[in-house]
Amino acid sequence: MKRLVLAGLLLLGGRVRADDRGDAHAALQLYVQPAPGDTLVVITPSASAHVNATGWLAFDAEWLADVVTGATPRTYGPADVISAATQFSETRNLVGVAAEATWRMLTLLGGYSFGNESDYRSHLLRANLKADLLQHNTVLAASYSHGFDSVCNLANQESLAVTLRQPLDRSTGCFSGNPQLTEESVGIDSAELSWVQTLSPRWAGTLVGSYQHLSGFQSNPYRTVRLSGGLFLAQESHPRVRDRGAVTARVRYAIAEVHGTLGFDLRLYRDTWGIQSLTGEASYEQPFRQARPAWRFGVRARGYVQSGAIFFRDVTAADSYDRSGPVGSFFTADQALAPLADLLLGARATWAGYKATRYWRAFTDMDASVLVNWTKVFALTPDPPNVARTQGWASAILLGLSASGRF
Amino acid sequence: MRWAALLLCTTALCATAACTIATGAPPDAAPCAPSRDFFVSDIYPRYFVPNQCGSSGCHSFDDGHGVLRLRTLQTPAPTPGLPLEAWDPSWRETYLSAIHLVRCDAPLESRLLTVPEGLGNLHPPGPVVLDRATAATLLETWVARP
Repeated sequence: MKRLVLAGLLLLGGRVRADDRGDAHAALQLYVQPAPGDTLVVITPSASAHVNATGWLAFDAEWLADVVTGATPRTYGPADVISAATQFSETRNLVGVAAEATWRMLTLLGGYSFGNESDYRSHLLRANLKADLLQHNTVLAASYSHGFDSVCNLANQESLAVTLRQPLDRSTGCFSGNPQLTEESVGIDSAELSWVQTLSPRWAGTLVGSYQHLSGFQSNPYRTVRLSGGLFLAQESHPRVRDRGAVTARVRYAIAEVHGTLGFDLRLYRDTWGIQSLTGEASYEQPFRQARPAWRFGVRARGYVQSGAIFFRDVTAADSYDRSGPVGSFFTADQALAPLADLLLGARATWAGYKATRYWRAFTDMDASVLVNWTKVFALTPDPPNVARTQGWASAILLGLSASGRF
Repeated sequence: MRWAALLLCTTALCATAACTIATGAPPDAAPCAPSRDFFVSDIYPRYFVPNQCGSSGCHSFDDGHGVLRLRTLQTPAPTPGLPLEAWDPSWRETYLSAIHLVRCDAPLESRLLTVPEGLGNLHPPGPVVLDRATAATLLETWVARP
């Protein structure tokens, strides 16, 4: 049974101890897309805290910021007629709170978060219900969230044909009542069911089904597409409704001799824009010093491949937007809607310490991690949007530092 | 446990069986393509040049901002009546870049006019149109010309 519980905790990332009063977490990530002429740098500091107010009631609070700078082409069209990359910078802040109540084997969580940036605002309400059954060997969970977001856009666009709509040039004046600008709404409903099961003393598995319904303005207001030989240069036009579904299966195998954990993940995805994707991931984690302070390291490799949206057309295609105009009412400059594949390799090292006299008079347990991910995107058509990101030795590098402490 | 498996399988089925959206018919909106000859003879020399729209850091093709991107024009200028396809690419792309900001149905509401006039404070340098009356007349004439 001890091993069963161990496997279950490995799967859940179990962190809470009965005598915990709570924990705090801080992290800093640096994300870089190093493509020449299409560079992006995102610095993401974050902090969160979980406080157990009573034996059955706990509260969460979080803050996250994205500081983004870069330059990216805003128009999708033949390379010789589109203008150079446009410089931009923006900051997004997100704050969230949640309350969590536990009754016997049930845990109910309700939360709210608010995101704010110069051209986008988001509100998210979420609820989770978790049942921890059979001495932690079975965990069933259901979650639902509703996001009601607002996107800044030029005013009076809806009366124009999609091929005549113009892009937003910059975010100055957004959400200020400027009559030249408006707020487009986006509603996002997400639901997820998950089942975590200890399968044997060494094996544990997870099955997750998720569904999302998006409704509203889903284009990037800044991006434009060149159509019909340049007679139209219009803001990208995406469908206003999108339904997305995914099924994920995960297994973890405990290698007791070295206290290692081998993992395999498989995810199938499909949406109503015609994108289907397959994600496979293998991971391995092992301690190389178990006595406190302890050290663990982990490595992972993930492969991903997707088809394109039914209205995506590569700029080199015989029926490209520039040659044949839009696909129905739609046209896109979004690389994420093109057929593509990627490979991610990552490594993480974690230090964990315990001090009865407490670190900085506050934390009994502490852990700190450093991680690095390398991603290479492979274009599956000759010249998709942001093609520079698929060239070169790396499409993206992620460096992360994080620290957690229990008090 | 069966009900959980059933729920997950139902989700999976919904995910894999999801239909795709209909793309619909292409819009039949005609492009606003005002007089090419008037662009060469009047709009470029009497609107873009005096208001310095094509300056470096403003709307030059190489390092400018926004949808409007003006190229360094090659000489000679297109002769009257020359088909657009036969224009020098610098003139053709500059013309195409400009017409996307013109409203043929309401020329005085064209973004080519309202944005540099500072309407709505969407033009970072502020108002730059030196002679608004002339600019408005130019836009109206451009759209009205055959």
